[in-house]
Amino acid sequence: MLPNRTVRETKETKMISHLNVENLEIRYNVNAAEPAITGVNLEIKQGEFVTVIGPSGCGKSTLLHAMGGMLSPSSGGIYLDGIEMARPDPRQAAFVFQDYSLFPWKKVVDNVAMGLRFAGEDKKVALEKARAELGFVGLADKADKYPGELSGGMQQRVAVARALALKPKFLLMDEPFGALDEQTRRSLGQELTQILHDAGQSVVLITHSLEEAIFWADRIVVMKAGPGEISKEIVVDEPWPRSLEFMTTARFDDLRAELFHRIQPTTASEAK
Amino acid sequence: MVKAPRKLPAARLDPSALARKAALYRTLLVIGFFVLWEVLANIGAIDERSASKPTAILAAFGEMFAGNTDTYQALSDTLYVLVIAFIIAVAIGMPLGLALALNATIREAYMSIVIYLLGIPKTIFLPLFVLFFGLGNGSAIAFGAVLGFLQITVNVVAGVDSIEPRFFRVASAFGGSKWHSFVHVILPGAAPAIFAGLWHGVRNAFIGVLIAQMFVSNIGIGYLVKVYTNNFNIDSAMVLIIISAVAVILLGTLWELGEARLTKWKSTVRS
Amino acid sequence: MRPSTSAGPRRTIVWSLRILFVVVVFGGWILANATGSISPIILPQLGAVLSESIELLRESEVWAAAGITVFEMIAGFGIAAVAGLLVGFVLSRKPLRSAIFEKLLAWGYIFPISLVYPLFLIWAGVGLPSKILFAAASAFFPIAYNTMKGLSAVPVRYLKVGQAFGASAQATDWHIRAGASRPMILSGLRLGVSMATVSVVLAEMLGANAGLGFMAQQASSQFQIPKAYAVVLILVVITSLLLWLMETLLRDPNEKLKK
Repeated sequence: MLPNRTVRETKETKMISHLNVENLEIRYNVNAAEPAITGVNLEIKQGEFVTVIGPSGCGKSTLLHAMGGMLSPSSGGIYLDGIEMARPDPRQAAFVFQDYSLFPWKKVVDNVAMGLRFAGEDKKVALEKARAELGFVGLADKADKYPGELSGGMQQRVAVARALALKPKFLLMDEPFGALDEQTRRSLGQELTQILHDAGQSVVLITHSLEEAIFWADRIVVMKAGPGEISKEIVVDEPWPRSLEFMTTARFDDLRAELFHRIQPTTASEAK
Repeated sequence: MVKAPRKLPAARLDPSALARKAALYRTLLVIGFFVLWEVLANIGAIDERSASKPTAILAAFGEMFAGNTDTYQALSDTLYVLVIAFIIAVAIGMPLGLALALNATIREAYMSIVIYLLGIPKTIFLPLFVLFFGLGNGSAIAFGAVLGFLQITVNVVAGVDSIEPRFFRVASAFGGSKWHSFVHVILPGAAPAIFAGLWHGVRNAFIGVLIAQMFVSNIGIGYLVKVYTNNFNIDSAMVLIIISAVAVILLGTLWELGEARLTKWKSTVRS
Repeated sequence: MRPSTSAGPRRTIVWSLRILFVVVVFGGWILANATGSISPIILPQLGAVLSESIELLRESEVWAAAGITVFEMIAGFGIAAVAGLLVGFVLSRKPLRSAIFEKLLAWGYIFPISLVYPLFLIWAGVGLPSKILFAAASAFFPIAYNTMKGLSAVPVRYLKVGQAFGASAQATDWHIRAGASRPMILSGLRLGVSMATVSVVLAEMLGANAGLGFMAQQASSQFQIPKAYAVVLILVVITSLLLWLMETLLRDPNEKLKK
């Protein structure tokens, strides 16, 4: 299994950080009839594992990009401990993208060190930290390979390590396992979410899988389309660590049934 | 408070508007180049005797096509040599390319030789071509054909390689014979790359013909350019150079349009 | 494409085919010599060519000529590389700029530039500068074109990662644009190497007073046929070595993974 790791510093700090989304609206085009998302209010506390689920086109990805400072709000705002997130700051909120987006021209370890070097970290220190982070995701021996030599699952671990290397307060994951096959998706997903949870890492994770949304979450944010809004938040109070048995409980089935009905497209326009 | 969303780093420019604007500026730039050339030659900043100037080239153009049959002769000789060279290049390049592409054993044995020959400067062998094919059209045809066929061969191989294996599997799963898969999968699948390969074949055959004509021949565009330049008749040399350039660029553009038609189905498959 | 026969017998067939090729080429040569079906003025004795080559390699004259040829190739390529990378970089900075120049650079590349060499002789004389400038001019276009295309076609998703991870403008250029365009730029440089070698050899044969190309042309026009073949042979070996060296230097470290 994975090497043990000391609890992340973020958990030891006294003040608990909050990521607040306040009355957020985003329009990609000023003239668009309908905003991509509107009226979104959400608070995420440090240490929480939040999943976001919703039908296609509900704006989950837009919400996540806004939370990371990649999109500026048309109205409302994103605040981290009361300070507006005006632009991306990976030390506050770091991304893991669905398509990994590792740089194929850089070795794995250089990919992981990249964010640290962008932040002005000394090269040697950055590489050391990157190797440590690769150990954390169980890929210490792949540090000097190129991404193209790794399987999809391993590449996504590298992308997670790249984000974690910056010790972000919040980790923003955009369907991180969407491109993987079912088997890898389940095993990697379970393993990574468990270690992220154990490390006290706050995570916002977008998924379109009902099981993932329930199994990993402290809290599920359900969105609806046309326009994109939050329709419900559901707390999942199942204690950690969670065993696969949880999936066979009646509580799990109820949650799944509820989510299933909530994210069914109800009109033709939502179906597209 | 309504703010425009911050741009993602995607290009937000309308591509067709950009292309039109670029075409306009490009035309202006080319015109500007000729105007500047004329002006610099007129004020004596560049030596008209060795670098000519646009108005002198235009005058020479009129003269060369009015009285002088040399020009027509050179152009038709070159075209004739090029066509023969290209036919030979296709006749060798296509079957050789297909053989290399479709038979793993032949490919393993000979592909590296083809790649090697493609890579080294064939101009090295010019003196030997002259020994074998003499001072006339023979050398130009042979040299053009060699440059052309290597390009065609490599492009045919690349074209067949670019066909996705799943199409072969479909063909055989539906009981297609080798001939069926050749006609229905290989030829259409490789057609765009082969078409592009023919263009590279023509272009390289043309280059080969011109080079050989400059080196040994006593006919053709290459020969005339050399003779005019040696006699300091730069204006006439420039006329032939510009005609060759325009011909290649026009042919290349036409080929590009044809290729776009041929590969239309590809974009619809992908999206 | 499809593994047909098993590995063992196939290797034997492959090697037999290769040997067959060599036998046909050299056997045909020897046979032509022996039967006299091709005049020795066209095809000299294979032995004569080989002994002439060894003879030549003992003379300093050939080494001096080879030095000149290689120097012209490297100098021409060097100038083209610096100019091409610089121009490609500058043109890639604005979408309009690259849209304007994309066609012009492509035209420069497909233009049969050898036609212009006689003009280079007039402009720069019969010595080394005309060869170097001509080689530089031929190699410039593929390098500039590929550099510009590579830098202006960086996939958006990589730029998005840079934005998300707080890359500065310089870091984006250096860590992302340079890396993403590296395969294309390197392939432009490799094309440039091949253009530079072709052009130098051609230039030396069309009008020069030094270099291996000049020697080969001289020998053949003076009907020293074995010597002409020997110089051609030496030229093939030297340019092959140079091309191999440059190919190795200009190979992308992770290119092998793409296959």
